[in-house]
Amino acid sequence: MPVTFTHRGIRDGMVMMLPLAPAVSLFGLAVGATAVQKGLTLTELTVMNLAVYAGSAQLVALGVWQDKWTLASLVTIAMVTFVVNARLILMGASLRPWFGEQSPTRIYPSLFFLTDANWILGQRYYGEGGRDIGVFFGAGVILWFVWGLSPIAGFMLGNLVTDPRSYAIDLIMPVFFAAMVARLWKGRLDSLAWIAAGGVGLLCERFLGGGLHVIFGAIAGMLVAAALPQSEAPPAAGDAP
Amino acid sequence: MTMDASVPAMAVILAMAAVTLFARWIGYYLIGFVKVGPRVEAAFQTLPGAVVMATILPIIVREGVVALAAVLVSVLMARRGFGDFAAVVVALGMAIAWRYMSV
Repeated sequence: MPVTFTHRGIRDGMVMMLPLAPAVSLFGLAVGATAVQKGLTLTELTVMNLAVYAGSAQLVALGVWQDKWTLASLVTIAMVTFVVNARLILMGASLRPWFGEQSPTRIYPSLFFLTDANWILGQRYYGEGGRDIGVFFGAGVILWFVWGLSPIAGFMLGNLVTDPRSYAIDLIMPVFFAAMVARLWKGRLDSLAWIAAGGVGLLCERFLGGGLHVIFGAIAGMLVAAALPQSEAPPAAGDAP
Repeated sequence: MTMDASVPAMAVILAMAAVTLFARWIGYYLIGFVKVGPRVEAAFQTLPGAVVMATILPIIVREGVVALAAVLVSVLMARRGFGDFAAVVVALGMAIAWRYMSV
């Protein structure tokens, strides 16, 4: 199947991401509330959402937000942001087999929209034989749009949902992510790698905090998968000694 | 919250955006120079599940058995061939009912 980039794919990607929109809006309201406490204006927060587009990193970075900025505090917040977003390096690398043959002038702008949800969706779509990069792009754009609008919505509407837990909005992300990877499970290697990732993620969240658990868990899972005997996978062509 | 924006805050936001875009680009760029062998390929193939497990397991532990049940319902439905939307709706419906009954 040839790698394409179509309008139909963009539309499909947008539709596939719609179940996540309430959770993204709610997370946007939570980040917005933190930003207000830290003294950000609506303009600043909206620009941040549109330009950074990385909720967990923004939330952690707002923890070190200052009233008066020095070069040192600017470098600190940039480093904090980068570390929480380091998982995006691995995610981007994993897209090479799919995106590699398309023109870089289309791929690099599309990678601006790389985030956990559209990456997971894209990997599942690719794993099941899909090749239309529009799906990844459309899913990323719709989430970016919702994320970018959430501060304005929060500013105008206030907090309409008083108890998100009673509507289970806090569980949308875990449930949706789990559904997306459920069919990617291929056997013992994935079981062991995912258990390692979950365990390390849990430990890091408990003892390190600060949004580092995903990258450490992901690295643990990759190391387990790389270390295990590769007999279950078909041998790659040209790999004989 | 007001509409104005301060120059230092905008510079900070720009720096945050720049390092994030760098993270989005650099892995894709650098892997293009590497010949990917079967072990690295296996590591990348398991990555989506690893990211999801590291992301959601702390949430499941924090929210308890209702979160675990909702995730299991969602996974079972997805494995049976139901779409994401159906899996999310049923799992959330169960969680809403569960929380409503246990109030």
